[in-house]
Amino acid sequence: MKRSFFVLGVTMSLFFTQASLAGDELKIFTLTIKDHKFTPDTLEVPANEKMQLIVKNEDPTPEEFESHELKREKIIKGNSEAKIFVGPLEPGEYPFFGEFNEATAQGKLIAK
Amino acid sequence: MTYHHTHKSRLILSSLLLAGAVSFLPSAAQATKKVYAPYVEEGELEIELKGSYAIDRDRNEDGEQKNKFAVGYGVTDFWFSEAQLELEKSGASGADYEFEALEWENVFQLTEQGEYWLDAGLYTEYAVGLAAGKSDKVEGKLLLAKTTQNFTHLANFTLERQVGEYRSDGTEWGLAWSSRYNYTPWLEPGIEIHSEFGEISHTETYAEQQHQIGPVIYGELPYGFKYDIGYLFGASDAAKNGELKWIIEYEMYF
Repeated sequence: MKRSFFVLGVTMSLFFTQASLAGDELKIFTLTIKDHKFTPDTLEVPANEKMQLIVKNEDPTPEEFESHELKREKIIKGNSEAKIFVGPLEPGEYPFFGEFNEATAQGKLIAK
Repeated sequence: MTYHHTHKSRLILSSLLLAGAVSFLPSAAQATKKVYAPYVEEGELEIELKGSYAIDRDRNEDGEQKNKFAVGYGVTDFWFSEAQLELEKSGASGADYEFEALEWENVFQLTEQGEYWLDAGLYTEYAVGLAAGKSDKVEGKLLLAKTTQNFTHLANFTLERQVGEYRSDGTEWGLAWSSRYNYTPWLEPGIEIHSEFGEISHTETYAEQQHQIGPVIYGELPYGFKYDIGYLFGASDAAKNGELKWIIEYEMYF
């Protein structure tokens, strides 16, 4: 039994290591939050591909990037940035918003 | 690159530490019917009420109630720490609520959500027994999650061992599973399985193990509240005939 758990641990390590190497070729897209708005507010991204969003918060206050469609929630502290992995996405529109400033912080990804 | 290396190192080290810890650990039952996700939000304050009500043919267990009051905080973007107080009332007639345990939980997020095929985290808990004759307890869980277009699946592999004066020897293991349909943020219907297999060193028969399965609904409510309510049916002789479970959670950035 002990050996089984050890093998499980090592296997998982190798799995994540391989996955990480594959992840180095990800396409990266950048969103900026300034004055509680996303720039750009519409971003075209490739469909059926995993990608990374870098969300830079240039406001001094925190913001929470949230998208029900992308199934992501991430708090980004003021004057800092966060990396968010999304996809692969089917073609379509994926709205997102800033939960702390929902009235102004709105945007969407368009997967094509 | 530094980001990837940091994460990879954390993953490999944690996986090996968990495997190593399991090898040396020689126990108890999952008191709370919650399936944990491996995600942490830095700066998030969480207040949680967890409870359950048992229905069973055994009169001492029928009507048993467990309640936990928890306060937690996202200390960093990968570490969430929570303190909770557990109260319990047995099903025996005339029984009253008793303080059962004071617990310290920690969740460590090991991977960014969606970074790999599976998202992973670790959970640790130390519970100080408050009731007379109750032992302390250490618990560890491997937390895994997989999100697809319409479904979220969570799996928790648990190891638990009693420590202290009133301990019983042996490490117990269990599994908790949740699959939910992402219908709307306010309503996500799903199913949960909670299994306690008994001691690792002593394989119990299926009838002796505790298996529960049942429907659960999850969702968000206005003003930062979330809910998780379900009914678990006993699927083995040792399990309670039925158990109503609920979790109400309030989150705010602090």
